[in-house]
Amino acid sequence: MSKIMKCIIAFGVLVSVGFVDSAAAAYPERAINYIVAYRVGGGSDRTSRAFVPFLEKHLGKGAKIAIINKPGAGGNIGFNAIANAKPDGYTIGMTNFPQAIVGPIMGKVKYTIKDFDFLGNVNRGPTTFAVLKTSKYKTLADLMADVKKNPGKISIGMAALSSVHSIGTSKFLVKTGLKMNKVPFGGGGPARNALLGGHVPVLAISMSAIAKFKDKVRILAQAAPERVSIGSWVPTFKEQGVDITNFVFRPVAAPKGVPAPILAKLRAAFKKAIADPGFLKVAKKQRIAVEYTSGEEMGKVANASHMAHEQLWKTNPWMKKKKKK
Amino acid sequence: MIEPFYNSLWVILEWQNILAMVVGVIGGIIFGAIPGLTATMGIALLIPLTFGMSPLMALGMMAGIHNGGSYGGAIPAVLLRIPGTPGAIATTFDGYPMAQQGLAERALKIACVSSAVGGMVSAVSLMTLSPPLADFALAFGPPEIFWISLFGLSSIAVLLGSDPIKGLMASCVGLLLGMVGLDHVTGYERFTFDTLELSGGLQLIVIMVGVYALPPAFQMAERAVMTGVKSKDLEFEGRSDMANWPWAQIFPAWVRANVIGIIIGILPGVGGVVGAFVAYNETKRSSKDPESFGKGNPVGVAVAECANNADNAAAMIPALTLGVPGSGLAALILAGLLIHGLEPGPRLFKEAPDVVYGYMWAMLFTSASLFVFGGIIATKLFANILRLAQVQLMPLIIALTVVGIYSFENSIFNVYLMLGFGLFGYSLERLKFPIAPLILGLILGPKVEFNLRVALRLSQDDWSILWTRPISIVLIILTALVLLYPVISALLRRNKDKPEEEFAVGEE
Amino acid sequence: MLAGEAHVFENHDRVASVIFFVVTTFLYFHAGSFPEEAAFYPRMVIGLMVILSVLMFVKSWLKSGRSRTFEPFFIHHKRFFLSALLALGYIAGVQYLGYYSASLIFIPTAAWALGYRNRFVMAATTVCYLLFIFVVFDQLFDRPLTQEFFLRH
Repeated sequence: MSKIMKCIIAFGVLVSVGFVDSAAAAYPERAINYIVAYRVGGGSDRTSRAFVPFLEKHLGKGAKIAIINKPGAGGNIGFNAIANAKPDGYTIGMTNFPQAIVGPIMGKVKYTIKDFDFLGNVNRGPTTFAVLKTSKYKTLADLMADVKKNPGKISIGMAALSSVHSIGTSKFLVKTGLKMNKVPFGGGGPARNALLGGHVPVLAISMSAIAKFKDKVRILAQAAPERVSIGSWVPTFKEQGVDITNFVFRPVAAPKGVPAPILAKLRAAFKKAIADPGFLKVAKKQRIAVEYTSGEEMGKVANASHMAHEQLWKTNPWMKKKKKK
Repeated sequence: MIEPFYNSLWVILEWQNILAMVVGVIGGIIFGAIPGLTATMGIALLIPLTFGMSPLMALGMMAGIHNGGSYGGAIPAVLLRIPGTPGAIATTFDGYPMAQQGLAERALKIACVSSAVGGMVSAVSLMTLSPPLADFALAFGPPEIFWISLFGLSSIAVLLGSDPIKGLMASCVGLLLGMVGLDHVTGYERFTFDTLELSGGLQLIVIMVGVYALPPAFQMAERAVMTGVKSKDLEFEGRSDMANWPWAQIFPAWVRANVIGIIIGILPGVGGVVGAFVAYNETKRSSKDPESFGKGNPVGVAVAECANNADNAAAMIPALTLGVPGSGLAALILAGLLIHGLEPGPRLFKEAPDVVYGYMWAMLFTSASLFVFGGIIATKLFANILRLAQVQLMPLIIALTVVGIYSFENSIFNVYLMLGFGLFGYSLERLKFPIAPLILGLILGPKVEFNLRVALRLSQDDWSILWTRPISIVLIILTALVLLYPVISALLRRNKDKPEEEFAVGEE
Repeated sequence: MLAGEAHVFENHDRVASVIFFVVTTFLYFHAGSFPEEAAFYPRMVIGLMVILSVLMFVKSWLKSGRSRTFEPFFIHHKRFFLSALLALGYIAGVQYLGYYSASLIFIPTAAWALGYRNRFVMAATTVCYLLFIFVVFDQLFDRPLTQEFFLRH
């Protein structure tokens, strides 16, 4: 082998070794795709559009993150796209618990909750039970007493039977042994309008969607372990003797198998971005209840949540099960 | 009452705000004119850019996109029979025949002026009627929405065309397409054949662009015309033409369009498409010469565009006064307010009067600005595209629909779906099936079914919930009158001559 | 065209009514597998469609003697299939090659295939169109299009 050849090979080896090492160091070298599994203007979309500029800032190197909305099938199309993307750190996206957990439990989808590596959680919102100010239900106890007297007769509105608040309602009913008539209104907006217009007596809805109507509605309880900041005047279910919790989480995730150095880099940037005073200011204006949970921790939350929901689906499904073919 | 209007007028007339409104209107017109892109999407994309703007600048730009986008859909509707937005479907009925008769300029100008009038009257209604009308919107629960949807569906009777069997079949195809996807009451997937992409249902915009935009493109290819529209036919002169418009019929049509458009706009979840259909319908029905509609009657263009734009500001009434958005677009504008720390609801009028009243002025001014920009953009930019040879235009239409539908949900599946519906729409058209009933069925069918079932779930299977509420009773009477109108008028005319119209009564 | 031949193609409505009948009948039974509550409305609508398709068939039968005007289904079937295939190929191209590359090929090719020969207009149209898309989608509104094959990593 000639000297020149040796030189070329040595050079090549050097370059390739350097390339592997620097792949993480140089990350990101091009635009990162950030998938939002819901429509433009929805909760996930608005949260993401507020948060992503700060994630870009803390990734440094002039990182550019392009938000791509892939809505459809209750988020499953977007979650699918995240889980099955090439795990190179150039595709990430916002998932949603429990939607991304119950999706695989309830039907045929091409991902499981184990197919994600989480960067961290952005926000967390508890389910609440709300009634009109003029309602005869002053407390959760009033409601429970009336439901006990009229089993199955009192209606409770919600966005959809497959929604997180439907699950929360089921948890409540299982815990208390009561029966209510669940009514879906085909979306959070119509459900809220139905309460405000007096078409349904009780509503299961997220704190962030109902807190701003506190002049007109009374929030009976929130399904958080302790009162959240955007609804600090509302007692929890636990305070009123019903020990349940039920949340929406909005964690950012990457497909499983992203190289460890890149994942670490993303997680570090995420942690800085979520604490950035600029982001917190924007979030406060948009009434996003920011609650950071680390990526590692979210993996455990996901597993626990998966087990709990699978159990609930088997024993007390929150909606009719599909016929298996 | 007058003072906040007066004060905010000076704020909105600052040059930055005027600039923002102008940019919004022009951007909105272009966005609306591309099939698949809507004003809603334009505003959603704008929101992150408004962080750095003053609240009024941001809202002024949104108002511009809102009004510009609603009008922009009319441009391809007139020139190519392709509605740029769903609201412009009724504009194709008479706008395209006019263009074929060499009256494209007149049709575009009537569309433009009518849009501006509709938008302005709607803005005035937002300014004056907001508080009393807001509570009215909330009184609409599932039973009332069921009846109003059925009322809208009953206008199919007039859209059926010359062969009622085919008209009804087309409506049923629309109803059937509306069933595809998850049934929200039982959670069962209907007609999805285990396809994940279908489980969320078929999107109106995908079907609409498929059945309206592709068949004309294929026909252009088949005819293989090597020339475009002759330059002479596109010689757009000044406004001397306006004296020849049928003003005596356009004025009453505008009044009708505004009343219907505003009422339907205030109601949650019905929207400008239905308003335009219903208003078109009523105008045709009450016209002395209903036969001329659909064949290039300028009044048809006027009423459709006016009603479509009358929805714009009216839809913001419940949004601003109660914080209850009636449409996706209204929800986005509320999000825009929130970003600037402004809480929608009754208190907003006291806490930030400049912003609220300034926004209302912006809705008024941007509507009025359509007089200026609408005509120029339509005639100078888009109409010139028609000078291209048709064989060259055909790939452009296809490329434009592909990019529009792809970026609607970033889904290539939707693009293939659109092509499929294009071929289906082509077949329907060659077989002389009317297309409009299909679209109306697609929009309203799911609302009828869902709200009926939710109402019955609320009442626990007590059907009396449907006819024991006051608004419902009014809607039932209205629907019955619309459906029975042909029978009644035939009976009344009996003395004069024999009725030979093939009106079909009933829609299901 | 010969009279006999015309008779075969004369009434497209009859063919369409048979297709509608077959499809809706299938869907009617398919809807039977839905839960009762979810099946009621679909079966009502589809049932009506089955009836309508029968009516359509009967009507076309009655009409066949009267109407002698012949209108072919396609205006020009060769060019129709050509343009439909081109459109399909174009969408596949958008999916795999990227939007700009596919459009760059498709717009002049389609015009050429349909017999247009003015090269200058074809080139100018294509370039202007792509520029317009770039400005609106990339610069103005930042909408991502399909990834370009030739710029892929």
